[in-house]
Amino acid sequence: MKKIVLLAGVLMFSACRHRPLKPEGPTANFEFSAYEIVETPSEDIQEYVTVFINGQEKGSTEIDLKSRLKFWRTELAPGNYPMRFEVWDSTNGMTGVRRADDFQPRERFVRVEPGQKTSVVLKFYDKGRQNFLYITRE
Amino acid sequence: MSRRFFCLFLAICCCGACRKPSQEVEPNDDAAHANPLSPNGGIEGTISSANDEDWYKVSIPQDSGILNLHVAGIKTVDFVLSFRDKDLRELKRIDETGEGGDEEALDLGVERGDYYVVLSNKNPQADNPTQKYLLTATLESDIGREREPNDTALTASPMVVNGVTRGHYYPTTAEEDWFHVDANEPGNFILNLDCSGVPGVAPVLEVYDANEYKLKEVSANNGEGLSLKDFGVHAPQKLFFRLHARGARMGNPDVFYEILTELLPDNGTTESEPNDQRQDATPFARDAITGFIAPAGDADWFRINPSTGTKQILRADLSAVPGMDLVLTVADELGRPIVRVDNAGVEAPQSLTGLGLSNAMYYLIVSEKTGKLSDTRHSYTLTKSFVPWQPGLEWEPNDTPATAQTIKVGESVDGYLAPKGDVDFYEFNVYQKSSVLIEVTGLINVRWKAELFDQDGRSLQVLTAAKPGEGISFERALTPGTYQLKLQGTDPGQNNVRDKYTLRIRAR
Repeated sequence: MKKIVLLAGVLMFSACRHRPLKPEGPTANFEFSAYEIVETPSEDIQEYVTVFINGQEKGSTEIDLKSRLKFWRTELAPGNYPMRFEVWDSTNGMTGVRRADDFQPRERFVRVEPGQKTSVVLKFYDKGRQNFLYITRE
Repeated sequence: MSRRFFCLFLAICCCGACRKPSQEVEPNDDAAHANPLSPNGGIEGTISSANDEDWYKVSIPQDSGILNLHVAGIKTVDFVLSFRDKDLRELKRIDETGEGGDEEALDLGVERGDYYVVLSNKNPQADNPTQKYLLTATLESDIGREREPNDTALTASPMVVNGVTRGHYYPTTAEEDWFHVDANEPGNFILNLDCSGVPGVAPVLEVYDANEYKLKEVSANNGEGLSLKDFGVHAPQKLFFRLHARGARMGNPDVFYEILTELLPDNGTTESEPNDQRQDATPFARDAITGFIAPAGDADWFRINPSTGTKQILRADLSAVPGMDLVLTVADELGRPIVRVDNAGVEAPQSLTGLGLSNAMYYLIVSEKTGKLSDTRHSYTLTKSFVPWQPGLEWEPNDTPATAQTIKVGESVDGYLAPKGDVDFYEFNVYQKSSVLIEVTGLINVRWKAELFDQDGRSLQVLTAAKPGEGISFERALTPGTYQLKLQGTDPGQNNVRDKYTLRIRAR
C-alpha cells in the first residue's frame, strides 16, 4: 500500500514539473538549437529552452548540459514569425527554474523562406547574462 | 674685550691639544696585537710596507649605536678598510678610492662589545713608510638610522614607522640598504613613504613581502626623491624594503637620504597598492576612492560588486590630475575590457555615463595614457554610483547589432552618446504593417547620424542631422519584422557626457 502511495506521489510530482515538449519530426524546415559557454565544469548543469512562435508555446529542446547543443525542430509555412526563446535552468538537480527576465533573449522576427531550411542558434555566454542569435538558411 | 677673546682662543687651543690623536704601536698586524681605537677618537699610523696591515680594536661602551670610520689617504697607498666583529667576521669592506684616496665606512650598526678595524693597502708598489695616516671614529645614536651591514633581507634594519630613517647610498659598490617594517596589530593599513633626494643618486625602492616576493618598485631620476603612496599593509605583516642606486658607482657619502613614513588605518577611501592587476584589485565599496599614478605606467585596479542580481547601471567619474591624460577602463570579472573611457585630453576629467551591470564582479582601472608619467603629489579621485536599471534607460554596452537594446514601439529611451566613439544600437519589432515615426532629440556637440536596418542587416535608410545639436526625425512605412536603429555622431570624436538624448519610436 505504501509503495502504491509513493509511486502515485512520484507520478504526480513528475506531472507538475514543467516538462519540455518533444522535438518535431525529420521533415522540419526549421531548426532551433541552443548552447551556453561555461567556464567551469561545475557550471555545466542542465537546461532547456522553450520556443514561442507568434506568442504561443510551440515546444522545447531536450534537457541537457548547458555546453551541449540542444535541438528543437518543426515544419513551418514560409513567413516572418516573431519568436521568443525562454531558458529554463536546472538548479540543485531540479529542472524547471525559469531564468530571470533580464537574461532571457529578446523576441525577434525570423523569416522562413520557401524551399529553405532555417536554422537558429542561440548562444549564451558571460555566465548566461548575454546571448547571441545566429540565423542561417540553406 | 680683546683679553676675553684671547682667553677663548687659548681655551680652544688647549682643547684641541687634548684631542690629539694617539699613535699606532707596531706590531699591530693581527687581532691579538690590535691597538685600541676610541669610538670617538682618532689614531695616527703608518703603512710601513706594501703588505702592512694595521689592526685596531674599538670597544663600544653603550648598548647600541652607529659607528663611522674615516681614514685620510696618503701618497702611493691604496687603502682598504675592513670592519669586523669580535669573532673577526668581516661585516663591511670599503674600497672606494684608489691611490692616495680617503676611505670611510658609514652607518655601521654596533652593540656593546669589541669590534676590529683593519687597514690594509692594495697597491703592491706602495712605498710611503713615513707619512702618517689619520684614522678617526665617531659613535652616534642609532635612533632613526640605518645599521650597516643591512645588505640583505636577513640583515634588514628596522624602518621607523611614522617617523624618519636616515642612511647613505654608500659605499657605491654592491651597496643596497634593506629595511623592514613589522605591522603587528591586526588590521588593514595604508603606508605612505617619501625618500628624500640625494645628489648624484638615482634611487630605486623595491618592496617585498615576507617570502621575498617583490610587490612594488618605484624609482626616480638622478638627485630626485621618490615616493611610495597608498601601499596596502594587511597586518600582521612583515614588509621588506630594498633601497639602492640605479646606476653602478652611484653614491654619496656626504648627504643622507631620509625616509619618512606614515602608517594609517585603511578606511576604504584610498587605493591599496599594489593593485596593478586583477588579483590585487583594491575593493571599492564606498562612493569615492583616491589614488596616485605612480610609478610611471601604473594601472590601478578597483573591484566593484554590484549588490543585487538585478540589472544596474554603473556611473563613474574620474577627476583630473595636473599634466596627465587619465583613462578609465571597465573590465569584467575575468579582466576583459568592456569599455574604455577616454573622452577628454590632458588635465580633463573622465566620465562613464552609464554601463549596464548584472550580478557579477567588475573592475575599474585607472591609468595614464602615455604610460610615461607619474605623480606622487596629486591624487585622483574616482567616484561611482549604481542606478537600478528601469525601462526607458539605455543599457550599455549596446554598441553592436548583437548587443542592441530592445525598445518597444510606443516607448522611449534616454541614453548618452559617450564615451568618445560610442555607437548605440536599438532593436524594435513591428507586429503590424504601419508607418513608424523615429525621433531623436538633439545633443550639444553631436551631429546625429541614424541608420535603419531590417532584420537581415540590410540598410533601409540613413539620415544625418543638419548640424551639431539638432535632433532628427523620420517616418517610414514598415512591414512586420525586426528592425535595428544605429545612432552615432558623424565624427567618432563627437560625444556628450553631460546631456542625455531621448529616442522615441511611435507607430501611426
